[in-house]
Amino acid sequence: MEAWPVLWALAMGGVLAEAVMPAPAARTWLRWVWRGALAVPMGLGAASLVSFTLIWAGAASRISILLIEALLMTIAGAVLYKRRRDDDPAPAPAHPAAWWLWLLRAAAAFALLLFLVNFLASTAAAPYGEWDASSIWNLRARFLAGGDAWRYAVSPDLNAGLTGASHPGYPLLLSSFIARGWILAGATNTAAPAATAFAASLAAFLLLFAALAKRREESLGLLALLILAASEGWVSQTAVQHADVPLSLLVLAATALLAAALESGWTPRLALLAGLAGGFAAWTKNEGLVALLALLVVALWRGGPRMALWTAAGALPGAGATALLKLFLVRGGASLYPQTPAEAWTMLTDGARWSEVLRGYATAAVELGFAATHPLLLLAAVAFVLRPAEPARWRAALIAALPALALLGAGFGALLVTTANQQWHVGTAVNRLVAQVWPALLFAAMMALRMPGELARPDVRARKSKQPAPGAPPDPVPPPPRRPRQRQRSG
Amino acid sequence: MPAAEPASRYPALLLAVAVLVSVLSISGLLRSYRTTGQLAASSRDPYGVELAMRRFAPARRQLPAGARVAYFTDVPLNTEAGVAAFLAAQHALAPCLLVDPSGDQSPAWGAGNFSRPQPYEQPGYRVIADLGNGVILYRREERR
Repeated sequence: MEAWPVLWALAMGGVLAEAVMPAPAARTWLRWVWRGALAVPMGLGAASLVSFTLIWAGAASRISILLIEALLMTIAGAVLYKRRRDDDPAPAPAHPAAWWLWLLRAAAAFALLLFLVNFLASTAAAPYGEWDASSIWNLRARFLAGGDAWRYAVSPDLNAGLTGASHPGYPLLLSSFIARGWILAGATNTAAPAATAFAASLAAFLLLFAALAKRREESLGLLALLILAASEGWVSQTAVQHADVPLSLLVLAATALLAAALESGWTPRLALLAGLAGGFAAWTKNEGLVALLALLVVALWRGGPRMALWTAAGALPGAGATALLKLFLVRGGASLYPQTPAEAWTMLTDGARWSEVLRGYATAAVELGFAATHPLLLLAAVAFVLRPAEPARWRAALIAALPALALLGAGFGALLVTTANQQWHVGTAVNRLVAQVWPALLFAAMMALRMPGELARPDVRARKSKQPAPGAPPDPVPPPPRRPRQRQRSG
Repeated sequence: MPAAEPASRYPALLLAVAVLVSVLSISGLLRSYRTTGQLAASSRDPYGVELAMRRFAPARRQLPAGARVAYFTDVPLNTEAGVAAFLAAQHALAPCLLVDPSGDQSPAWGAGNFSRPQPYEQPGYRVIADLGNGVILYRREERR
């Protein structure tokens, strides 16, 4: 029960997401998965901001954190109670369920079980996480939870200013969320960072599945979940307690919400929620700022000024906290980038540097999975069978992927002009960059494909005999007709 | 009761790919699990954080919470081993902040992290406790 603060934060995230989300899709269980998965990024972001604000104000304690969070939950609950669910932008498409869906369901459930076992084994082997966890993210959490010592988390003296280890300017979503867990638990245990890492990883699986199942078909969501499970480059990052998997979850959430807006029409709620995810991404890692900027550009381009404003309003808490941190709290710190345009230009015109970064990205793509079970091979096999969707759909998928692609591109540029040892920087950064965007890119790739249901043909033999074949599952029952909307309930 | 839609037939290739993705995904996860087990067996506590938590526990109890602490060591900070030892010690002693005493900082407290027995005296500091396992606690000497 040492992880109860994480569960409490997820409950708060669930209520907040539910209050902001447009009305649910038709299928109830899918709705719960989708919204349950969205509770994690929202809970991580909101709880982190509450605790950091209280820490900065010198008022962080178990009582104050619980009081503010309970107040937020009450306000969100009141909004939920009052608003009507009349703006559902994404009714679930009605396609007959494939009979092999059960195979995919069983495989996905088994994959999640194996993932859990793998996660527990990794955590038992390294309870304090990997290098950056103990030297950056969890270390800063220990300072943040340490009363007046919290300012060390943003001090240029952090880790004696060692290059590659001292990052006082890194955003604080993960560290302050873990610090909050320790303040609430009254001890700096290993459970809070591990439970946070697990919640973010599981939510990424479920969000990927549910977003695709909601916008396309359940089978497509299950295939995507299985491909992500085969992505060793991402799975191996889940238990290390770095900020990359939480960032990948937030980028995926922003991408999925953006896709919903692009395909089903922009609504203020969708824009607000996408903005929240983007803002929290900026509050997680510097790379998230790039994804947020791309999200705002897409919102302006495709949704117009009003939707861009709603997106910006959603991004305000996370982006505002990041700006305040960088403008008012962080002083100094080592820079890994050129100080003059001339220095940057010299690096940009050096072919060897391009070659080094390209090699790094190619290696990271290869290391995304094991040879025979490589996720890109699996994705290629699925794409070969399903083929690209109609142009409007794959164009929407491509546009939804822009925040993730912008993040990847910015990472490429940063590695071209790094002033650190480039080989070292590429070797330590590229795998993480790929892990940060992989779930979102996988989502977009699957969105760009036709659905299995579009390949189905009516079974003439079954129609003739009007009898199901021996052993065949019953014909799918279409969803009941939609009834007039009633007053909204939270459930 | 609504009428049931006719059953659908899917291309055999689609079914084959669904089976392939299921099997290969689980196979990949099993291999990942084996790799995790091998790594855990070969390198438990790879960064020495657990060890540092045990070694520095007595020092953590004696240092004031949130103090700045001078860091003394015989493993130079410009080596990989020195950086790893420093970071593990910093994690173990947080929320105290370890600082490099070679600069212009001379905090009231000091912590030593030594790889072998040796004379532990440091200029400007006096040893107040040898806590074992190469961990030394210092106090700054007051100037007269």
